[in-house]
Amino acid sequence: MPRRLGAVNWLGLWTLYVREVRRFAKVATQTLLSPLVTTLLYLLIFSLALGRSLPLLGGVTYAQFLVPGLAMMSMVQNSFANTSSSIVIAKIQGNIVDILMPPLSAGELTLALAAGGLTRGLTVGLVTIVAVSLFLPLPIHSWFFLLFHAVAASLMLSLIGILAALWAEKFDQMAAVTNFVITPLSFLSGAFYSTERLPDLWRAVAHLNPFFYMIDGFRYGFIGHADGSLGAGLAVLAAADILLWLATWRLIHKGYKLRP
Amino acid sequence: MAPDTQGLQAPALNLAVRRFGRVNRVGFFSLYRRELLRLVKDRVDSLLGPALANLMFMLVLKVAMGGQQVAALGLPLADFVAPGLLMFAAGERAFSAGCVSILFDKMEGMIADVFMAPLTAGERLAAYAGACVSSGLVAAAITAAVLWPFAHLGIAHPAALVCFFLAGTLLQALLGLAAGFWGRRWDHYAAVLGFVLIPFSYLSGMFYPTRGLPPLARAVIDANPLYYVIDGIRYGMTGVTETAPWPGLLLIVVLDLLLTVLVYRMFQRGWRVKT
Repeated sequence: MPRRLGAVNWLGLWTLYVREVRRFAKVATQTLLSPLVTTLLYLLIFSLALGRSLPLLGGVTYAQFLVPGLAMMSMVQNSFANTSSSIVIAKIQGNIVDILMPPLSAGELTLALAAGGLTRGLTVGLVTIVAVSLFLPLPIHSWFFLLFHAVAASLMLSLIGILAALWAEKFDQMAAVTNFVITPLSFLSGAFYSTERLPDLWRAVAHLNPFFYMIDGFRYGFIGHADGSLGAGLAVLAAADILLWLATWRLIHKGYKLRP
Repeated sequence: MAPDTQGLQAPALNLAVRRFGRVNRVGFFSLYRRELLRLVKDRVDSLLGPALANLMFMLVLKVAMGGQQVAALGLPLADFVAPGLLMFAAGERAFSAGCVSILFDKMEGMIADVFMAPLTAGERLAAYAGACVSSGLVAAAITAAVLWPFAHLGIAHPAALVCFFLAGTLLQALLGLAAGFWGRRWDHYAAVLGFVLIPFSYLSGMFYPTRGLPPLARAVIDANPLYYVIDGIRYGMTGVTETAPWPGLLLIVVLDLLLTVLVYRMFQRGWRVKT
């Protein structure tokens, strides 16, 4: 006798979400502590190398300017890593059928996987901000911008992670996406410097990088100063999330590189 | 008297003890070659990735400084930082190469291929360490090519540069091999990399002069062997140094020797491989 699930398979959705969360929680030293150590090292290095010679940016010290950007970099890299590694490993080891066989729709799969990545990103961000604020006072200017950008950016990279993993067939290809797309875009996003310091042309280029809006708006949530347009940031992130969501849903629905 | 006795004896002659002389050269070069090939095979991950990450550091420092000249020890900051980035590229690669090689083969059960082969512990150690150092040097060369447009990469004291580079890369290769023997799972590798190697690499005076740091920070950096490696390489490249280079080199060589003995014992006993 067939089981009845209703319009949404809540139990299946929740189960897959919990699996995604446990996947990273089980190796928390690697997935939470290690990014925290890296962020603290970056903070230390850059404030020691440059902090004393740079003027105050937007009325805050260079270290205070750095923290939101570094936290955001860490969040998006971890969101991306969570969804992409989960799917690529499952594809290569063949246990991807475990999520394709159960009665989960494409929408439910997208939601559960993306929510897993989102959870890791937000957890890393929270841990980072709390740890840093133990020894560096961090102002909070706007909770709305802080939370909106944290959620929208982590979600965006979770979705990009799913898309990249659907495409990739080998670990090398995944490493290539991480090394040549995600790392450069996040490093050159204005996390370490104010884009107001760039020459006009490069500032225009920097403002085309969606990672710029994530960091700029998130930082505005803390220090109340933004390099670019806040409205543009909200629109870019919201539009990117919606488009990526639709693309992910569509590809999973079609079984792109998942089903023969 | 069975008719096939002769047929059985003929191949037995071929399986007699082979003579290598004092060193099994063929075995050594085969292992060295295998290790080096596997290390350069996934070049995107292992060679271009680190070079690109170092390029990011350089670009970010350049942009963050804006138009101003930030100087360190009388050098432009980019020239001050470049030697450390090159060493980081070589050392991280040498460490990861050694650790991943041993750990992966252990986890897949194919490390027997190496321990069964007629190689002495010394030959195994030399082949592994040689391959790790070689791939570290390749990574550094690629990084140098990538950093070339952004910093002045000169050679002031060639002998010092070569000695420090080899000794420093060997140090991290040996650490990687030791970590490979010690680890049992991938997160052990990640833990040693994230909590030991990266902090030691970054807190080494690579990005800033240690003069003028708070006393505690100076003490931490003074106790870090990589500080002397990077300072020595900077001496080799620019002629500028914070410490006396030759005592620093002596310290690194002594550490290399101690680690060589330790890792030799690991190969000899098959620590956590046979035990």
